[in-house]
This record gives sequence, structure tokens and C-alpha cells, in this order.
Amino acid sequence: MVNKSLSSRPQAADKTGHKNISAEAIDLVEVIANMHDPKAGAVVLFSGEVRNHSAGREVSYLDYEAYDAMADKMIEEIVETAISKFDLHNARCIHRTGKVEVCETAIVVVTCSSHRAEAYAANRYIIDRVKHEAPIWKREYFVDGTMEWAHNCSCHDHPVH
Amino acid sequence: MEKVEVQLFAALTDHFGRNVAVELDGNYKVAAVVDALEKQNPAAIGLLKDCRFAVNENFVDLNYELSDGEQIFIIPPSSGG
Repeated sequence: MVNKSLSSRPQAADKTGHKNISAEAIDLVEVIANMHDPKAGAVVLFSGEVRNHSAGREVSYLDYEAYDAMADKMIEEIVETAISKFDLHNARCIHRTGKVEVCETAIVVVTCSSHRAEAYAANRYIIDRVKHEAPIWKREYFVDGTMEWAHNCSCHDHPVH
Repeated sequence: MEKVEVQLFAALTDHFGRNVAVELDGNYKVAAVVDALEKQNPAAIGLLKDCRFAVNENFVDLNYELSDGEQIFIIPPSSGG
């Protein structure tokens, strides 16, 4: 099943050959257009987007840096694990690098399964692991002209109620 | 005395730049590289304590012994997404 999933994936996300890392804007419509699968009754797309505020401060934009080769490899491994663990028909994750403006996509995760429970759970699994584990960092540029490297993943500061 | 090439990322580049050569004398473990960097820039000690290390695109621990010509990549805590 894993090989079948791989064969239906789109080509490299950018010119570097790292298909899970992109220095170019992510086109969500194009990404999901390549993910439809006749066996999948559920296709979940998560777009992690740049918001205009962080810890009470106004954000102008973010700049992402990655250890491209290793981040690409790790995202691939996380996606493959999710496909196997949640019995998905297909999955994809692309993370941006470089300057990403407010409302633009910094990361997209698409999961395809027969039924929605697995697609939702797998999507959450992929985004959580990529955020925590992949060697990718963001620098926040604020409206007041200052900037700083973001601290560790803050998902635990915003629990789901 | 041998030099080891160190590649750095994100907040660590504010302390050391993108790459730096560290001189080691007999002990080529990752821990020795970290010690040298901490001595070079004590302000980075806190951040270095939270970092992971990679050689040839694989994670290694502080006890890993670098071979001749191997580069070490020092990876601060992730903040992607």
C-alpha cells in the first residue's frame, strides 16, 4: 500500500529535489487536486497559516529556515509512518521556507482515508510530529520593526477544550 | 589538533554565524565540540543544552565520535509549523 501511495504523489515541491520543503508559495488547490483517490471517502487538508499576532504582538511576516535535506527526509518518514499507522490511501505534507506573509500557508498536510476518523487523526499526527521534530525554525518579524526567533513549539500552551 | 567543521541554524547563527571551525585536541566526541562552542560563546550555553546533533543527516548523541572530515550539524529546538 505504501508504494502505491508514493507512486501517486506529485513531483518535487521545489527545484531542490526536496519535495516536502518548498521555497515557493504553496498552492492549496494544486496540492489537493493531486490527492483525490477513488478509495478515499475522506480527504482532510490542514493549512497552517501565518497569523497577524503572536503573544499579544502584531506580526508582519514570518521567515522560515530549514535544514532542508534532513527536514525533507524526516517529513517523508513521518508521512510514511502515518500512512501505515492509520491505514491511509495517501498523505502529503509540504513545509515552506523563506518569507511567508500573513494569511499565506506555512505548512499543508493532506490525508486521505476511506473514512473521516482516520484522515482527521492522521492529519493531527503528522502536523504535531512535524512541528515538534523536523529541523525547521521560524523568525517572527513584528510590525514594530523588531524580530526574534520563535521559541519551541507552543501547542501545549493552547490545549483543545 | 584537528579542526571540525560545524554547521549551525536559526538562533545559533546569531552566536556563531552559519558555520564555524572548532579545534579539538584528541577528543573528537560531539560533547567536545559543544564544550568548545560553549567556551567560545558562553551566551549560547542555554541554547546549546537544548540542541540535537546530526552527522550525515542522522541524529547522533553527545558520545558520537566524529571521523576525519565529518561535519556536525547542530540543531536547535524546532519551531516550524
